[in-house]
Amino acid sequence: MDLERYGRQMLVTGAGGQAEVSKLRVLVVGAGGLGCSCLAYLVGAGVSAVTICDADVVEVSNLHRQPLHTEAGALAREKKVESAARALRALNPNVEIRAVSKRAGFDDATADLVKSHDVVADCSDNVGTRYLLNDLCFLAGKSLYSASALGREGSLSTYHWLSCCYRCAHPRPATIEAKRSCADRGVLGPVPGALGALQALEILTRAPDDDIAVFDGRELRRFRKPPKRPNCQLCGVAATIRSVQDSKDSCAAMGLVVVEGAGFGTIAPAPPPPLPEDAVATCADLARALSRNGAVVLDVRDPNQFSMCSLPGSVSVPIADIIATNGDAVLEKLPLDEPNKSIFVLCRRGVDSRLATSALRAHSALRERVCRHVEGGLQAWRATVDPAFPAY
Amino acid sequence: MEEQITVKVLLFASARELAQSSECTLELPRGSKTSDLRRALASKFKLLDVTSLAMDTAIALNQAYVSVDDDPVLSNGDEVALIPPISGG
Repeated sequence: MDLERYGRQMLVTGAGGQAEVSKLRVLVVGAGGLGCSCLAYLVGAGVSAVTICDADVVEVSNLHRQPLHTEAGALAREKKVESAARALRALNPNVEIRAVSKRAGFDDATADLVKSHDVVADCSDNVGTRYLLNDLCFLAGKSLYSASALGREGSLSTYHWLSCCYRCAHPRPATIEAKRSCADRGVLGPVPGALGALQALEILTRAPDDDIAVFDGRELRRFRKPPKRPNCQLCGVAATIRSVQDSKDSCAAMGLVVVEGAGFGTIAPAPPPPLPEDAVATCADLARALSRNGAVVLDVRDPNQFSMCSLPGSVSVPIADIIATNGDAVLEKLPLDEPNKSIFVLCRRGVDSRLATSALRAHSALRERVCRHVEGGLQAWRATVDPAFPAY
Repeated sequence: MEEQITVKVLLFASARELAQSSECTLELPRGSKTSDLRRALASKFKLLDVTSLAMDTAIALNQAYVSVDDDPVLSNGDEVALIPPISGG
């Protein structure tokens, strides 16, 4: 036993504690914000082996929260598992590091990965993988340590299967949550860093699984888990999920399917409200109208996004304000001296702008105005009109 | 005996974001259950629409999750937390 390397933690856990840690083989699913942090502390602590499972490549937008990766890796579009493995080998050459460049999925390869490790760390970034790992770990009898992070918030939960499973607490995925990703909603780097470190702590100390911890940006609060659901499909008395295929079928029935190119576990979003054809504009339509000075651009993104970049002269009214006021918030902001200009409603991707356009077209004071949603939002503007418009 | 009870509600993640508030206080008729509280929240915050969030999300009553199959009666001074699962990472 390497007392020089591990002495400081052995002063806390004793030689027996270190002997336990040195036998642990951990599967870490996800080499992003949570994974980078969790992996670094597991490998530093001297576990026997870690396997890193992730299909993504490193991007510059990852670097503020994923300190195992580098700018050079982002420029070379290096696989995250390879970038992480290199950093971890440099941190502690005594740990066996395996890189599996693959998206965890409803397949035998993923089930075999789970079976061949002692414990699993769910460091994934989507709701589908959370159900997948819950099911596979329960079926294989492996402890699952799960963490999540978004914005300033995160949560932490452990499953040894004597108490409830993830499905007991969340029998159905919340559709609204499936639409919230770090790419859409942002995340402060230290948040996944903190949650990933706590996840490593729970693994190293084999923490009990009686509560779910919720981090609100300042405070970590613990809530006692609900009881096991007798009718849980996975762990209930008449469970129907017995195999990877059963898990896949159950998830598919909840709308959790692998959508190629859109990531695993993408829930089909609710169908957008129908808009008549004359209420839909392309970015090219908007560019033409602007060149004739015939457009008012209404930007419905939240104030933070608007402060990062916007079209010159556009008016900011966040979608939340529009819906909360049934459209009245727009009236105060629209230039009153230009009643003939069409209103082009714009957001990041063309989802909220559709909602806002529906609300505005129903508003009595705006009946006479032409109000059009801009398909594809500012991302389409960058792709089809102005490549110099910033991406984020 | 008072006809109304007062309940403190903590909002997390998308619930906090949609309500633009991290906590609030609700007055409910005595005998109200957690399902009544969900309906009251849905109408208090327009954006917490009844089907997708206020009705669906896991809640904890006095620091313990309530099973989705239960609908306990609330007491004066209870603390209820609306905790949508977070899935980012």
